Amino acid sequence: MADIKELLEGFTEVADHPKAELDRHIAAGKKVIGVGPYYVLEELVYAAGAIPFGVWGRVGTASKAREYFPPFYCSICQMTLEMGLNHELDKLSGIMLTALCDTLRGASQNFRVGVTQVPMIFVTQPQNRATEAGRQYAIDSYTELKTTVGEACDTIIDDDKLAEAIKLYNNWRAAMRTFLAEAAKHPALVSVAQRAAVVDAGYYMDKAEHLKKVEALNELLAAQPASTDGFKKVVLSGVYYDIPALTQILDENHFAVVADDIAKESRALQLQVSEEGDPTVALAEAFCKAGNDSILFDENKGHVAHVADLYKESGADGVVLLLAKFCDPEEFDAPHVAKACKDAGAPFVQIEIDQSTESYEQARTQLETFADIIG
Amino acid sequence: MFYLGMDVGSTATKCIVVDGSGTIVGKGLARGGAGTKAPAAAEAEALAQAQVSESEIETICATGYGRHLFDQANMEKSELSCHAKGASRLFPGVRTVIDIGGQDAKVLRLGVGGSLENFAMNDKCAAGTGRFLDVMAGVFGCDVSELSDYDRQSDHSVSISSTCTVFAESEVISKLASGESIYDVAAGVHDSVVDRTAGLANRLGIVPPVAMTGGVALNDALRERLEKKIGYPIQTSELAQFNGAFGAAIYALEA
Ligand code: SF4
Repeated sequence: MADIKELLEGFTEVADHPKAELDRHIAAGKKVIGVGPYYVLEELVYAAGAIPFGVWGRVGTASKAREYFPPFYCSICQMTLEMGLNHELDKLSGIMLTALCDTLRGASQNFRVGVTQVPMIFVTQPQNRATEAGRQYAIDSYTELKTTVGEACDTIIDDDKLAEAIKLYNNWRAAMRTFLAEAAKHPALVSVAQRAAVVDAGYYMDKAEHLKKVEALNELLAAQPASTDGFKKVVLSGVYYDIPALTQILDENHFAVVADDIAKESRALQLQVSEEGDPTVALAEAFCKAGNDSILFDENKGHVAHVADLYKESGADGVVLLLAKFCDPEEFDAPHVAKACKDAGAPFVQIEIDQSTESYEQARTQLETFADIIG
Repeated sequence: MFYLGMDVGSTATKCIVVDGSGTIVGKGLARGGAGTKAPAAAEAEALAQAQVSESEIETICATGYGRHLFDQANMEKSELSCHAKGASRLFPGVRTVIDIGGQDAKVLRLGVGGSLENFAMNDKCAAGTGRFLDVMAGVFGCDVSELSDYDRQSDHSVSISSTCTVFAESEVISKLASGESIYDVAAGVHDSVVDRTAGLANRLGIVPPVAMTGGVALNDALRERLEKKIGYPIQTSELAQFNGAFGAAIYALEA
């Protein structure tokens, strides 16, 4: 059996080379559907016999996408379009994009116009999710998507296959939650960069294959004594942090992520879909139940208190808010999150991040100082 | 034995040598940051002034943006920690330190014992930093050290509304072209920096006593405008620019 180091190296290899993973799927005769952020019902793709492949932009500089966006546009959207315009996504049989924030809405439509070689499958989801009308809207939209995704994969998605996919995804999300908890207890064995790599690899690999490896890793980690000695325990909040320059700084300063409120991690992994009844309805209802996320409308702003709660429950030494540049939902919540953390007595630092930032020296200074303060 | 603190900043390198009691015995400053000859020049100047040879230096602590490139250092510390350490010695009892450096502006909150409690930094933008003033001095055709005198000769401040350095530069040029006096525009430039700095300080919350460090602290007119804006007197020191290096030297001493 592979050891912890080997498994982590395997995940890192995939996370660092998504194109190679995409080529592998294509070589195996699979259709691949791109999946953007957030809460995209990948289960449909899996049930159609295709591979869902995460597309959340990438680290780099937008150039062609600048024709479509002003400079003050979030980098996930800019870089996703840039990838499309640069023909990096041509092997995809389609890409599913949502409109959960205003930025994504424009981005999805620009993608449709600019990247004609990759069909854009528009995922409409309700923001008013607590009402019956919202629930019905989600069911109607997801029912339509079942047909659209099936067509993109040259198949008709049947309910048995969809139920199987839901089961697999539930197991995968549960295993991933376990992984995040194990990584939190073993920072000396799983660095911040490796934690991000395990998550990213999950966005690119066949979920069944990823699940097996994550379960093996979880078992090995659970057998090791837990220790955060010598590390500064933090809660990470934000949309993403899988930027090598940033994870390197976090690792160099011995930060341990003991809990997260990251859209690409725990927020996405919170979904648990009912395995009873109509699977499409179950997917819609699971989305309607999701919460604690700046991207989801919530008149009580549960997300804000959730970050402070994570701090209290995890025994963290502080909270690091990685604010995605030009992200409205995150920027609107940020002052409230800062205040909730202050009220909870949590040392707090806010760092602006962006996939296109070339120098993280200011972030380094801030994180080093934060490490000094909480250390 | 002696201890050396080296602050390799973005536009200047500062060096301080202290003795075993933490008293400053030498200081050096050279224009230029990491990757230039400035660190060696600043060190040579500080050692000469202290009449100390390199072999008598027990520990070297580097700080500032270019600290990683200063090979001789035995240890490194973040510049914010060094600024807090230096300020707690330069201004005993100080609770809020405003530092405007070449490329960034920061506000530090110190605890009662002088430890760093919290901090805020400006966005990744030159507005409100020393660089902003350098650019504006370039437009006025004067040295940045003359801006204070220009401001003092103004009778009203001309508002500069652009926050971006590049846009503010063209705004300043057009104000001058429309006949505004250079002194009033200089006062407006100062107000623009003061507004941003006060905003940053308010974000953190100002607890008096307040001190100001960094090269811009020596600009008296700007400092007085900032005092008015935040409503507290601001202490400074002729060593304001050396504060980070001094903190680093104290870290070296305490190591
Ligand atoms: S939520 Fe923020 S980071 Fe995500 S796509 Fe929208 S603007 Fe970009």
